[in-house]
Amino acid sequence: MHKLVFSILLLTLTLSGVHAQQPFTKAFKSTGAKRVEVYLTDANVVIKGISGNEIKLNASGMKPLPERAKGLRPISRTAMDNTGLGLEVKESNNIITIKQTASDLLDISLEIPKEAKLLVENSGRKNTPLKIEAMQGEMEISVNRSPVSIKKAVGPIVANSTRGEIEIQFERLSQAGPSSINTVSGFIDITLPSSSKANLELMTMSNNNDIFTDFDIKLLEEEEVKKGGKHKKHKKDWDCKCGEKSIKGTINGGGVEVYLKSVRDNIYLRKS
Amino acid sequence: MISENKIIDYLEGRLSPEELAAFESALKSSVELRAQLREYRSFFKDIDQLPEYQPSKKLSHNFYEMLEAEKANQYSREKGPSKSSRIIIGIAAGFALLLSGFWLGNNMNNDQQIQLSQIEKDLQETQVIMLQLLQKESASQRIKAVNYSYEVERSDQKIIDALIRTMNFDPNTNVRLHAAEALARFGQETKVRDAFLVALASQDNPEMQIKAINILVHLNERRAVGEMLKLLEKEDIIDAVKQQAQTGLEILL
Amino acid sequence: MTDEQLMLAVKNGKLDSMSILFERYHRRLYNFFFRINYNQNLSEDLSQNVFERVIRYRNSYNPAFSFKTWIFQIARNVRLEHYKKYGQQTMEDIDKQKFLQIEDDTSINMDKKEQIILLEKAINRLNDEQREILLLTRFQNMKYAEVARLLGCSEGAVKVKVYRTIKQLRQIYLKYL
Repeated sequence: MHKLVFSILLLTLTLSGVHAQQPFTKAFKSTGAKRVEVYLTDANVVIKGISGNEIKLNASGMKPLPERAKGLRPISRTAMDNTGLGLEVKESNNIITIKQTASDLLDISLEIPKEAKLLVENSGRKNTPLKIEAMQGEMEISVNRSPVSIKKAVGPIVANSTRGEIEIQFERLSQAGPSSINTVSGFIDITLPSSSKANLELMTMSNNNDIFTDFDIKLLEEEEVKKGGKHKKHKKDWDCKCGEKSIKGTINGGGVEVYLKSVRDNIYLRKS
Repeated sequence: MISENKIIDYLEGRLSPEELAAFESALKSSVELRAQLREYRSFFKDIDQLPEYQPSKKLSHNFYEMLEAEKANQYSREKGPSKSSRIIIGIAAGFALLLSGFWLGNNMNNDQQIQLSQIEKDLQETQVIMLQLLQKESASQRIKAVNYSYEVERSDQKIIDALIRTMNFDPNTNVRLHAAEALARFGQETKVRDAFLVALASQDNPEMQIKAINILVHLNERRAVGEMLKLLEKEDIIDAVKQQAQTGLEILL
Repeated sequence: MTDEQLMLAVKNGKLDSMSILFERYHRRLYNFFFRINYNQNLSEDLSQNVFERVIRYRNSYNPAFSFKTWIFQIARNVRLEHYKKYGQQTMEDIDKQKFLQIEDDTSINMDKKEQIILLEKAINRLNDEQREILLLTRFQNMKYAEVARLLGCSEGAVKVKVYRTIKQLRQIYLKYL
């Protein structure tokens, strides 16, 4: 009898989200290639890469459910809260998808296998930071106003933001595919190991923003043939009178393509 | 009584020195054992003399084709498309099928030696690689795919179509931007200029809007003026875009 | 180069090395399948399937392990999956099959041809497990230790299986002759 009462109590507390939190975990179906996709509306997020085959999720900030909703779960147009945290978590084919259902501002802390491919989209209008650390795989980031800070990255990273700055410290630069960072307004600050090999394209689009670096960039004057293949990158054969200024060159003899472009703000490229 | 197992072991050379000695002395004294041994020897010989069957040329042919496809595709292997890439895969799949049929057809026809010029061959190869990469779940690989279009000097319809589709429908903004830039090279084609006009009207991402404006201005496309004026009026267009539209209008008019 | 060195090269991205492994193994694999289903097309498809998997799963290959064991592991899985889907050919089917290759070969005399066909039929009468043991030990010349690793049993168990298989086969064969 007591056990039954206790279970019901626990269940109720779980649903109302007012309990001391154990992380919500979800395992990947197999130990092969993994992918995590995170779709947010307004949330402060910290993502850390760990070892293992599951994700650990902690979140707070969801308003407690109204009395009338006891036993029910909140849903949004695209997802249904199945964690009690204002988030839906699903696994399919080794892809774990996390969607924000609560319209409240959430504080999320997420630990995922460091070799997983990561996609994060934050379409919210608030200035909520996104921090990612120690992820060794490919990342796709798309935010509206969130300042993005990524540490100990390998990449490739494809990121864009409308109004937030993007700061990335690469532990090493993956040569597996191009990295591309775009902002409309919001500075771009990238740190690469000084020996990184890359074909750089740095572009600003107004008269008020500039590019700063301590790298020795060998500028491209002519077409360059990328080593190991027939891949030619043509010089843009226009002189756009629209304010686009682009610098194309290589560091350390050239390597994978790295595109850094900001419409309004400065670009900083640092050696580590 | 020496068991058959021992005979088998003997013929396979698996007897220990003591067992071997025991067996050989038994052989000397038993006619029956010698007969059995002969039978087993002959039996093993029959087995060993069974022919090795030969596969047809098809096996080699299929293998080498598969190897070539794998070499062209030697990038990351993705498992299962996420929702966002199903659109790309759906659109690109049809083309890839069409193209691979053409590609395989040329290779299979050893009788009709179709002499393709080197340029044609390079173009086909570029098309195949590019379309394959465009189906990848990884945005980085799709940017790589777009970059392949720079290999091609003259305007090729399949590549242009692929770039237009990518510019309009790719779920990743950076990929769409790269596609737009790659497409700008073919700006002398009406189809391409139309595509940029459509992009300007339909893209709601500010970076794409700016890119479309810049390219249309560079191409001196007067038809863009109407759309750009409209943008200046709209409420939900951000300032950066409006400014770009303003500058663009000054240049065009 | 050894098979293991070649496969390691493939794993590291040098896909061309795969063609050498293909030349070394494709006939063996084909025969492995053919002696079970006596169907040329099917055996070719199954062999192709094995090579596709070798390439697809190249990252999981451990160069410390024998390549031969690994590729036959894959072959076994391919065979098992096929038979789960389509079932095994019955004895009747085999009877109706013509061993065209043998029948058309003028260098083998009539008696020998008949004897070969009878032996093949006898082999076909063995159950799957026995046939596999026979193919691996006698035809592919795998050591008992390798076979043990492949089948996931002890070397002693393999030895016992070999005894039973050989004796059984001989009994069946003698009945035919």
